[in-house]
Amino acid sequence: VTEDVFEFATHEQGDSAVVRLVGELDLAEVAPLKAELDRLCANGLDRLTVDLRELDFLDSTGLHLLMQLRSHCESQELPLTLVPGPPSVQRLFQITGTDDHFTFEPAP
Amino acid sequence: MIAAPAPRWHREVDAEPTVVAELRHGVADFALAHGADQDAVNNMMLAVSEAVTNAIIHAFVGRERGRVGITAEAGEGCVLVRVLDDGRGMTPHPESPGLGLGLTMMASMATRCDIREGPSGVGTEVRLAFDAPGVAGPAFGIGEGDDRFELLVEVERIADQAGWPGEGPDELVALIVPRIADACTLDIVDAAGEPQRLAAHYEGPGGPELAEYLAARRPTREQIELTVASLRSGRPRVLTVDDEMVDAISHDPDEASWLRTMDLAHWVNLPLQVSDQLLGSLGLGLSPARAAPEEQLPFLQAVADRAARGFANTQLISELQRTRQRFERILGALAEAVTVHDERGKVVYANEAAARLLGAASVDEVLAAEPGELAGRFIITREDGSPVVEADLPGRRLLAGEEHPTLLTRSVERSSGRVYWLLTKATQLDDGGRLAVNIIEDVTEEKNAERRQRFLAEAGELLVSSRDYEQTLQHVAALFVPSLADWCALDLVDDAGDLQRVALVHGDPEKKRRADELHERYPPRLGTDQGLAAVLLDGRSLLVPEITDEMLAATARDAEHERLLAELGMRSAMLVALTAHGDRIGVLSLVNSDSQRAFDDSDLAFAEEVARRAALAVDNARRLG
Repeated sequence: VTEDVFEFATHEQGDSAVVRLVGELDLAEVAPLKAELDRLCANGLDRLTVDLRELDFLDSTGLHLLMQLRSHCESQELPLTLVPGPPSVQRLFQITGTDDHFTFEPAP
Repeated sequence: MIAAPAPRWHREVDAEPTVVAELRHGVADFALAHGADQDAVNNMMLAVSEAVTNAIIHAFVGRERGRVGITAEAGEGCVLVRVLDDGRGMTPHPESPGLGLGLTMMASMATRCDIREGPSGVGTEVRLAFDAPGVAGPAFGIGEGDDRFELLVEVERIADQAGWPGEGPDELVALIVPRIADACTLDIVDAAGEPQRLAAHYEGPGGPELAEYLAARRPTREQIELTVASLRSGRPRVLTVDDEMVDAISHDPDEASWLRTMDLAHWVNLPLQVSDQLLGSLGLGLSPARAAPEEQLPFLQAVADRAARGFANTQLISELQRTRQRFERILGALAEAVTVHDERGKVVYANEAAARLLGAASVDEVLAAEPGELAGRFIITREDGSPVVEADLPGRRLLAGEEHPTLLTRSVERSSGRVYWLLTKATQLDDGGRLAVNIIEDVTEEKNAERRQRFLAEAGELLVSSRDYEQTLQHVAALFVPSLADWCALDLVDDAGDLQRVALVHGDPEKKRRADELHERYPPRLGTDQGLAAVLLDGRSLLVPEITDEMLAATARDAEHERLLAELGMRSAMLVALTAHGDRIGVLSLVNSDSQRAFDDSDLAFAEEVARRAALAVDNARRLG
């Protein structure tokens, strides 16, 4: 079953936002998420968190989106935090050597 | 008992973003069903996701979406995946910085990763081999430094290409020798169930001479039986090559010593089969220096299984060709004309009968003709004389989505003036494209017989109904026009011995006026040997199928006469004497002009019959009057 393989939910509180990614993120699902992240970045936040705990699958398409987000946040001096996902997702950051580029913080 | 999962899984889909997940999960399900563990499956999912994403994003830049094909295969401790697209290849693209990441990912997840141009230079093919402990299947040899995987891929490529039975078999045996065997034979099982040699290759003692010999060698009866028996089992079979075996398969001692120079230790017979159908066999001869064949049997059979696909293609194609040829022979033998044309009206098939009917010298001429070209050779009308254009023909109406009832037409061939009555039926051929099949029945004879019968019945009634025979003859003349002739004249000999025109009926009033004028200004001269006078003189009918300009010039008495004759546009004519009790009392003249019809012998016979009846009626009326 390939329907509804991916969903995201945004929780905004004051000047911070948490985006929760659920399911499998790939080429077919990346566009709406990008639009949501662009919207949040333009909102003058002072803290953005992307929660990967419920993410079941991530490939280079999703990783590329997170890399773009990181660059964007850096230029806007907006702190970006990732909540680590399951091992199969975390492994991706390690293989590509991108784990050093992100700030991973377990959920509070 | 649980059925074993299929050793192979294949999907081909439109290259849409949504298929990334579908194909990723398809491979994962396949691998799990074959016993792969979750770690291996995670690797596969990631690499497949990357490969399919690449195919979609990069392969179809600036053009229409194409297709993506994926194949997964289970091997011993491994899974092989091929992703194939029909796009323009994996050219790095400025908008796709993810490509570098994707390639990194594929290379990291797979034990072997190979990206190259697709078959025949179209698209890109990504081959991925994954270690997958717990999976059973043939040993593909995917480890580093093992070229068996490459060989399998090559065999597959040869088998899948269109070169069967052309160069494919030769390429295959040349690939196998010397990489995995010293001798290789490829046999196809013929209709009688016996192997026939298709190709062979050999490298070793004895050299190319022995290779050539092997390729042309006809096996002995014993060897055929041996091979067939081992193939029937459906399993590979290893034979030890010793003196006894060589003697057994040799035609004579010379051949036995000849075969012994090859110095082979083993011969492996591998069945080539697809879905339980035995297509042929692959024979491999191994020198003593090679590893014992028992160890590599699963791999060798994997090679044979791939080669079998090439055979399956060949047999399928030749079966289709046989069916088509048989079909064409049946159509060719039909008396009815059959043509098949496309939406443009271009004829793509015609049988001999159709070629004859269309006035073409051959079927090839019909096929080479442009749409409308052949129809242009005819004047086509309905029975009532109204013109038929190409768009009215049933086949054209059918493909235009209109009603297409069977159509009766009169076709007059412009060049010969021959008249055909044709009944055309059209049906659609569901052949992927839009084609119409026309069955054209030549009903000329039936139609002529029917029309003449009707004519005689009507004329008979007229001839007995009145004693005013001049008026009756005018009615009879009118019956001829336009169905049997374009114009009809009746002249009778009067008491003074002169010809008097009793009737002149013409379909065209303007031309009737000219014909009258001609008759008035240049009345027929009796006592000459031309035209009406000649017929009246000796009573013999005159049939002129085609009136030429030269004939008119020879007949004309002066330039004005010739001009008047030419203006009438006469194409064909018949003059028949009216004879009663041995007396020639007049002449019936029938002429074709505008319709371009040429009179023939059957028309003349019919005109003579009408003239005979008319003459008797006139004679009776005169006697009684």
